[in-house]
Parts: sequence; C-alpha cells; structure tokens
Amino acid sequence: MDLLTHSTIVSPLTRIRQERLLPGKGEVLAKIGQVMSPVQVVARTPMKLNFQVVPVCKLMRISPEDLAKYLLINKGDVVEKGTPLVRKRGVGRKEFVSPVDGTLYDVVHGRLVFQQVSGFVALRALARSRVVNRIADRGVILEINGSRIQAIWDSGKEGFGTIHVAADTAVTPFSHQQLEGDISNRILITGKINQADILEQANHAQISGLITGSITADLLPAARSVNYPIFVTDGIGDQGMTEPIFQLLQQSEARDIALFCSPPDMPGRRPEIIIPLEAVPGETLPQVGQPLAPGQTVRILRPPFNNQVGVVVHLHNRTRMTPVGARAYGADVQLPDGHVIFVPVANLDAIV
Amino acid sequence: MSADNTMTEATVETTVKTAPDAPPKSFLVADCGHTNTTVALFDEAAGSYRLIIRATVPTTAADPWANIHLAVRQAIQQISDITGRTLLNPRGDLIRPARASGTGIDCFAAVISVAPPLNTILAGLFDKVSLASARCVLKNSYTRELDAFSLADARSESEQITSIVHHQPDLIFVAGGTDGGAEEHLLNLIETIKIGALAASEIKSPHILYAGNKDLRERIRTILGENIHLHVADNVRPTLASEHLGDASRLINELYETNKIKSLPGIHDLSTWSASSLQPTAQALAKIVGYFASLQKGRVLAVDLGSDQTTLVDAIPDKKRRLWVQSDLGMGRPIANLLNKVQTSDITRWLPSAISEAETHNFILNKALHPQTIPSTEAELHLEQAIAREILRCVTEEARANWQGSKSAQAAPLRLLLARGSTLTGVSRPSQTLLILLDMLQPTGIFSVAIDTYGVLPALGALAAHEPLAAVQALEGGALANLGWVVAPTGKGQPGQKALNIVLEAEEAQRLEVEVEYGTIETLPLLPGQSAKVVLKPARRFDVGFGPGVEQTITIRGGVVGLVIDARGRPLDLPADDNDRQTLLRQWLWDVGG
Repeated sequence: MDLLTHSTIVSPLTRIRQERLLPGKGEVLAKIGQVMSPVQVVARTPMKLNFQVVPVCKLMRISPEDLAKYLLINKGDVVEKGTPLVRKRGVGRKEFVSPVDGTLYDVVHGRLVFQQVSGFVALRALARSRVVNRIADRGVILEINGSRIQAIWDSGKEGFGTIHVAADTAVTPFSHQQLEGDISNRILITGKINQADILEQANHAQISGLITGSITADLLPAARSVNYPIFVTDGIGDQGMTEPIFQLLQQSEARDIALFCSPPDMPGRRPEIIIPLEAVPGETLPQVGQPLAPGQTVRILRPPFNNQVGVVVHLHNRTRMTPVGARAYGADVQLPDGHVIFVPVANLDAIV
Repeated sequence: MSADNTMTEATVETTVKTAPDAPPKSFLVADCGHTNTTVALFDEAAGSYRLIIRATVPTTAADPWANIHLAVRQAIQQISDITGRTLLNPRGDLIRPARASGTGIDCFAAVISVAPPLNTILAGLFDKVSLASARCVLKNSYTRELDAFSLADARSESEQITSIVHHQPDLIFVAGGTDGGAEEHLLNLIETIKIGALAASEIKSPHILYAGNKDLRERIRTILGENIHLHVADNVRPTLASEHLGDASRLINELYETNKIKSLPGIHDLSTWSASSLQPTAQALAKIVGYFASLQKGRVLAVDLGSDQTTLVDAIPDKKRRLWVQSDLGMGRPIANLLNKVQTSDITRWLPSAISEAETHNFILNKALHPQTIPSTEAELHLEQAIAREILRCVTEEARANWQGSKSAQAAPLRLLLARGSTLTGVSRPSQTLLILLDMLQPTGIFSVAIDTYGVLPALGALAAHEPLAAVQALEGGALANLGWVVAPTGKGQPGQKALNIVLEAEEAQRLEVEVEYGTIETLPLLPGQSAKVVLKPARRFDVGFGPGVEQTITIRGGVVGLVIDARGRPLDLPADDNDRQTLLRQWLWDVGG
C-alpha cells in the first residue's frame, strides 16, 4: 500500500528553479538568459508607504464639483510639501499648498488622496544564477546548480554570504566563542540557539546570516528583530540540527550560500538554503511527495526519538498501535545505533 | 415525584426503510481537510447502507503535491487495496456507476475545509450593533477578520486606506445604518473604502459586500463605480431590534466557494466526480446537525476541532441552527494563535503532571510547523488535550457571547453532544474525549454523546441533499461511535455532600445503586447496545433538568464509556495549588476510565 509522507529536500547537487517575486507589481530588470551575481537586482518596485487624504474642498470652502476648476495638479503628479495644489483667483484669492510629499493618487469627493513613495524595494538574485523566465511585472525564475536544503522557519529576512560552520556538532548551542575571529559577512552554522544575548552580539559582529537546527520559542521575537536573517532547519526547541543537514553544510565550508525566505500566501512553500556549485548535476531531481518506501532516509518529528534520522526497513500495510494506544499506519525505522522502532507515518519526514 | 421518560439512542433510530424497488447504491464520501483527507466507502449490507471502510491520507493541496485530487485518489486506492474492490480505472478516474462485476461506485460526494479563509475587513457604524451582526455573519463561513472600521475607530481616513492596501483583503464587508437611518457617515466610509479598494487592486481586487441601510444601495453603487466588485445583501440590522443574517451569509458562502474552493489546485477534477457542488465542511456539518436536532426532537450541539479551524453548531428543532466557524484557532497551523489568546498557565492547568512553560511553547510552535504529527508519549498526549481544551474554551466563549446577543439564543436542554476532529476522535480511550467535552463545554442536564470516529459526518450531510435515504441509513449503521449518556446536575454544594442518588437497572445485569457526591464524576458501566432504566434522585438543591430535587426515571442505551454522572458543579472549579490540581485531574481521568 502506498503511504504518502511529507518530505524535506537535502540535496548535495541538483538543478534548482528559484522563483523571485516582488510583493506587488513592479519593474523586472533582468533578462532571460542573463547571468546574475548575488547582489544584482532582478526586479524592483516603488516602496509605497502610507496614504494621505487632504480634504482640500473643506479647507478651501469650495464645493467638490468646482474643485476641477481650481486644481493645479493631475493624477499621478509627484508633489513636494509646499507645492501649490489649488488656487482660487479673483476676489478672495486663495492658494492651498501641499502639506505632504507624495503622488496624487486620486481625487474623491473634494479630497485629494496622496500616496507617499520612498525609494524602491529591490529584489536581488542572492545567488549566482541564470534567468530562465520572466514573470510580467512581478519577477523572474532563476536557475542555479548547487546544493539545496529546505528549512522549516525563517525570520523574514533574506541574504547571502560565505558559509562558516561555527558549531562542532549538530547539537552544539550557539555560544560567544562561535563569534570569535573575523566572521563579518559570514553565514554562521550552529546546532541550536537557546540564549538571547548571543543574537544581539552576532548583530554587532556583522554576520550576514545564521542557520540553526533549532531555536527555542522564547527567542523567536528576538530572531525576527536582528538585522541578519535566521533560518531554522529542524524545529522549535532544543533538538539541534539533523545530522545529514549539518554534514552537508560542514562539507560546504567557505562556499557561497544564499537564504531565500518562504513566499507569503503560498502554502507548502518553505524557506530554502542554496549553495551554488559549478558542477552540473545529473538529470535526477529530488523525488518529493512520493510514497514512502523501504530504504528511504527519514527524520522523526516527535519524541521520544525527535530529530533522529533513520532508514525505513519495513512498511506496515495495516494500522498498528502507537505508544499512546491510538492506531496509525507506520513504518519500522532503523536508527543509527541499530535499533528498529515503529513510527507512525504522520511523524516521519522523508529526507530526499 | 417520578416521571417515566424514554429517550432515543445517541445514534439515529431507524426512521427510513429502503424502498422495495430502490436499486442498491454504493457511495464514496470524501472530507478534504487541511491536514488529512478521509474517504469512506458505504455500501448496502443486510438491507441498509453501512460504512464498509475508510482511509485517511495526508491532504495534497499544498506543495510539493499541489493537487487536492491526488489525496482523494490515494485514499480510494487504499480502500481498493484493502477491500480488493476496484474503484479507479487505469487513468485514475472513478468508475461510475458501479458495475455488475462489483467494480466502481454509484455516487460520490465531498466536503472541503482545506481552502484558505476569506480575508475580510469589516466596516460599519457601531461596534455593538452593525459590526456585531456582521461578525456573526462572518462566523458562518471560513473567514478571517483582518481589521474593522467603525465610528469608534480613532484612525484617520488615511490610515484606514493604508490598512486596506496593507492587508490586501479578499472581501470588505460593509454593514451599518438601519433602513432609513444614518447616511452621511456610511457614505464617507464607502468613499474611504473605494480609495483603499482601488489602491489595493494593483495586486488583488477585493470584493465589497454591502449589507447596510437599504436606502443607500444605489448611491453606494454610484460611488463605487464599475471597477469594483460590489455585492448587495439584505441589511443585517434593518432595525435596532431585528437581525437578518441569512442573505449576507449566503453571499459570503458563495464568495468563499467561488474565490477559495474553486481556486484549489486539482479541484476541477474532483468536482467532475461529484453530482453536486463541493460543499464547505462547516455548512455540511450544520445541515446534518440540524437534521439530528429534528430527529432527536431536542437541542444538538456539535464541536469540530479541526486542523485549521474550530466549528460549533448549535441546533434546535424547527429553529434556525447557529454556526460558528473560528478560522484562527485549530490544532494545526493556527495552534500558535492560542498563545495570543490565553496564558500558558491556562493550558498547563489541565495537565495531570507538570510541564514547563518553555516546553509548552516549543511544543505548540512545533505542532504548527508539523500539523500532521500525532502524539507518541503520554506527556504529549496530555499536552495536546490541554491545548484542545483551551481552544474549545476560547471558541465556545466567543460564540456564546455573540449568540447571546442575537435574538434566537435559547438555552434549550441539550439532548445530544457530537464531536469530531482527530484530536477528539483519534484517542484510544474515548472517555478522555468525553472528559474534554465536559470540562470545556460544561453542559448540564441529561444528554448522550457521540463522536464522528470515521470522519464522515459532514460528507454525509452533503450526500443527504441528494441521497437522503443513504445518508440516514449510513448514520444508523454505525457511522458514529456512541460514547454513552451523561447526567450533569446543576446546583452548588460542599465537596462530599450528596448531589444525586442513582439506581441503574440494566438488562441481564445486577441492579446498581450509587450515591454521587458533589465535586465528583462517576462512571457506571453500560455497554453499547445494552439498555437500562435509570432512576435519578437529585438532592434538594440539585436539578437534572426537571426542577431542584425532582426525581426522574429515564431509559437509556449504553455506549463505549457508559453512563457518566458529572456532579462537579458548574462552572468547574480547579484548585489553585499545582499538586492538588494535578491530583484532582488524575482522579477525574481515573473516574471516567481515561
């Protein structure tokens, strides 16, 4: 019987298609076939801030129907504070100047609606890559050859840098010692984060990012507030990093790395860690979403074997009793120490 | 004084017989939830429809599968593998109708709760009038309230426009003004909304639903112009004293089906299998609960503790059923929202042994990241159940507060309590589920309790519209698990004081007489299928639903838990001391057999 299971990509070498999309409509700068460096901007959009409504008719004591006769600007015009907006000539001559900087977005029933714009949101490539498609007004699809790791949580910031494995093991906590030496512009790899002050200290050390296996729940607000991106590969708590992910990152010491956030409103899309490589992968892509099969490497998602990695040795065609007495489909999983345990399929994550 | 009162079983008494010339039919029902998809096969056995088998697989609406249809096919294939009955052809399509060879199926129905909620901004005049009614409308469907504008809103017009653009709502629901009432404020609000909606439409055009002062409809149509999707419903508050929620609810459900359900990947393939449109799970559940209320001739309360939402249905025969869908609380991804609504100590107070605040937070956030996972240790099981309790408490408190504000609110005696959702139905000891329900809903009186063990109840509700006989017989045939009966007297006393005397005379069993003390919960064995006469003799200050101290004789049928006497009082009072409380919780668990 086929048993579908969730999966996590931990692939040393694969061909990656990475979508880079602006939050709204904008200008796509990159061209199909163009080779991008991490810092290059692929698309940009004006950073639109607040709207400001100016009740100009009320302030000038003119009727909304007459406003068009006196209005000095048109929709789309950019004005600065002090720019004349409305001028009434003749007896009782009056002028009204703009109290805000912005673009005249609309004129509604005697009110001028300004949208304030401040610079641009620039979407960078983040990785050495080639543009293989453009998505009109929104962004591009990049192709990258390299290692790909799906994370489970991101702090809402993206980045790129050079890998520095700061932890000795997959479960070593992030410590002050790991911030010693020149680590500016590095993306640090650590086992787990369970101290708040170290996050702030890493801020001062000007790191470009932090990848950890786990982080405790109380530190999530601090993780969101630091200047650099934090990516979590395994979960919330004290469990540390899954061994295959740690090993892949360890093998990639000093290589370039890019951190891509999970896109909002796209269920199932996860944060991705990509390590571009010159090597060209074979045609085989990670087999995601496939039914579980014997031989499959899996990560266990719940205690008492939380975060341990094993190999499926047998699939059960009938439900079995779980340790708490419920019935569930599951598999026998062999742990690295040789023990074979029954784990419900719901608590398994295939590493592909 | 004694009265004899025979009550029906928790599951439905046989009321419909198969017509002699009706062709036998087999059918599949599917329930596509956020985390799991369940498909159940019903077929004729011994003259009526019975649940043959069901299969549950992970829902495949999101990446990496991004095809809702895949999970349904996978579950059907599991059913085929186990039964040996071929249901899908080599292309993966459903074989319909059933063939003489035994392959295929006659009928397919499905309910959907996997679609994301309609993100909505509310706008109205007064928080306690139009906005309160509008909120009740929103809770009749899968919606999420992002923001609310009212006269009490201190924000400027500019900030409200910015909010619309920032939130990118699917819907802006405008209520306000009694018919013939306020105009100016509402028209100003509409102008603000127009600007915000047009600005937001650069990314996504929100729908606007107007259900306010009917005299303003044409002017609002003119203000909004042709570039905005305007829908008009009956005023939700035509007068201060009246409330009309039905028309606006219907339109919001239509918008949900059109904009959310029909946008699910793979939904087209699934809908071609179904004779009727694919219904939202909550609406289908409300229908079948209303049907139960008519059949039981009494009030039925249903609780669906889902992965991404929690649903309550309260139905009274011949009266409008009340539905409450809380889309920001569930046992899956939204579980983390619970931490914004309650203190951690509110959760941990339900644990029979201590777990730290940090562990509780870590557990909740991990569950949000991996909603499909199930407990593998007793500690985690108790923690999940403690979380379930607090979610139910939050949802029932909010629903009751809003329902009491509506005209139709009535505290009719409860006859049947239904529960669904894998946290409640997937436990090995159903008495744990019963205890969760009693702890959090705190119902009183005499009522039976059943759980939707197989996850088929809403889907049968959807099927009932087209195949009522099949749906009724499927329910009769054991689609629900009957837990038993509960007697929960009202009244206050001192711990140890007698609350109730019970005499239970079951068929082929010894007469049992028990005195139940105030502050305790007792379980008397009464096996499924076994019936018993029960004499209830409440003490002078206690009432089982017929008046303080009034004796009552009832006839009941057993269930997997039996007859539970909940004399712990209402509201439940938990000791402040951790050790005392944990001891008491372990005692209650022990007393109900959990």
